[in-house]
Amino acid sequence: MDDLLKALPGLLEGLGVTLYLSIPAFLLAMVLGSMMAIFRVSRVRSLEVLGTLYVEGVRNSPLLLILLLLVFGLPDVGILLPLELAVIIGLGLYSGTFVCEAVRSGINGVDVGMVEAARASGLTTRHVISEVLLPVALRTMIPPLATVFITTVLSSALAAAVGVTELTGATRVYNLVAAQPFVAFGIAAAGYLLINLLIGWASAKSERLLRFNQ
Amino acid sequence: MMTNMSERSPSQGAVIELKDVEKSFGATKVLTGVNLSIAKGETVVILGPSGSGKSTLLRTTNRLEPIDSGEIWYHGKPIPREGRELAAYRAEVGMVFQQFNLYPHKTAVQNITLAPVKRGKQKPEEARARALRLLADVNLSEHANKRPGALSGGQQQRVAIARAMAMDPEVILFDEPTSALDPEMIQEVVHVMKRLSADGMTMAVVTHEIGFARESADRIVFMDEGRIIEESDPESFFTNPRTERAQEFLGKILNH
Repeated sequence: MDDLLKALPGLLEGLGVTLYLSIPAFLLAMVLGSMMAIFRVSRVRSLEVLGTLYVEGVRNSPLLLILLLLVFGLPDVGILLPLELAVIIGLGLYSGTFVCEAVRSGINGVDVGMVEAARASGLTTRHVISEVLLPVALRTMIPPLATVFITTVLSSALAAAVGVTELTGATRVYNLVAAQPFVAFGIAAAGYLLINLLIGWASAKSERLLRFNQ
Repeated sequence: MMTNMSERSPSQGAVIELKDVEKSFGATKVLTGVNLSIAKGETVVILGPSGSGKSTLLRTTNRLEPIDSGEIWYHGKPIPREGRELAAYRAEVGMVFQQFNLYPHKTAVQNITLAPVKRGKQKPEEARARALRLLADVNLSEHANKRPGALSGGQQQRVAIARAMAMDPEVILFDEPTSALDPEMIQEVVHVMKRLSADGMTMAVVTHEIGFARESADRIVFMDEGRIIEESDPESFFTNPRTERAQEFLGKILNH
């Protein structure tokens, strides 16, 4: 127990690093993914190809490989990024592909009739998109986007493999001393659970706020 | 194109005029040599069996479906093909859909004010006051701030009609406005349409509501297999249809 108390600041710091990695990574994923999703439904050939290349290129390699590439591969060709930044970029790139697909299917899932009604009323394409298509699509996108956020938090554990002492890394350090793997990793799991319950709660809350039947 | 236009001048007073309109979906021809002219203040009811091209005809009129050949004129000018000009034309042509197609995230009032405000036709407060008057006209004042999900089908369709009216359209296209409604809600929508027609709104209506057609139509257009095969006043169409297909069709819908 004494060991644990002594280790607690280290573990909390690890939790902080996990958030420090996964929140900016998810924001990057949202921006990049939404942009690529709009590219993919744009019906502009070159943009569609770009979006597809991104999704298929990044989604189909293991995240660990992407992190290794950014952390060890880039310096090899002369590009040296701060370690955490490299991890954030890798995580963001990777999660962005899932954001892209969630946003794309949200847009495709919008009832065509509604978009036709908006066009028939004389709205310009810009207003059809901003006033009808996106607000309606957003509601169906919240649950899958929350899942992407949760996955981003969990995937950030791979940062431990490239030398970042986030929650999983910090737990490993603690376990080297305490040699109580069940307790140690159980505590780490509880930390992830806490973050992700919060995300799930926020997602359910925003879904309720945006519900149509009011 | 230019020679065509000078050869055939539009009819006097026509709001909408279709000339030799042809349309296929893939290998299926849905409109063949369709000619139709709708005059100001006229209510034209388009009848015909399902798959006869009625809805497509209506949808080509505001270019929700582009046509393969032929011409569509609005007040004597060809309708725009794309962009801002097309949007401006659509703003003058209202449309009411079978599935209502209200915006689910907006209240009844917001559904009605969106287009007038975004098109810069009315200021927000002005548009809101107008929307409330339109909702009162269709007996929905107490539902002004509800979203479509909280309204019945008949109520939603009346909001949709108010939404079309908010743009002060030159003509309203009704695409089977009562086909998705429960029987007890059909009359409340038909009632609103009858009043619009009596007030002199120019209307093209695809419907199976024979009561509406008899009472409000100035003209019946009967379609079969993508062609208009009969055009007459309601009285002669219902009592003495000329074509065999129209007789057959009326036999089917009047006998139940």
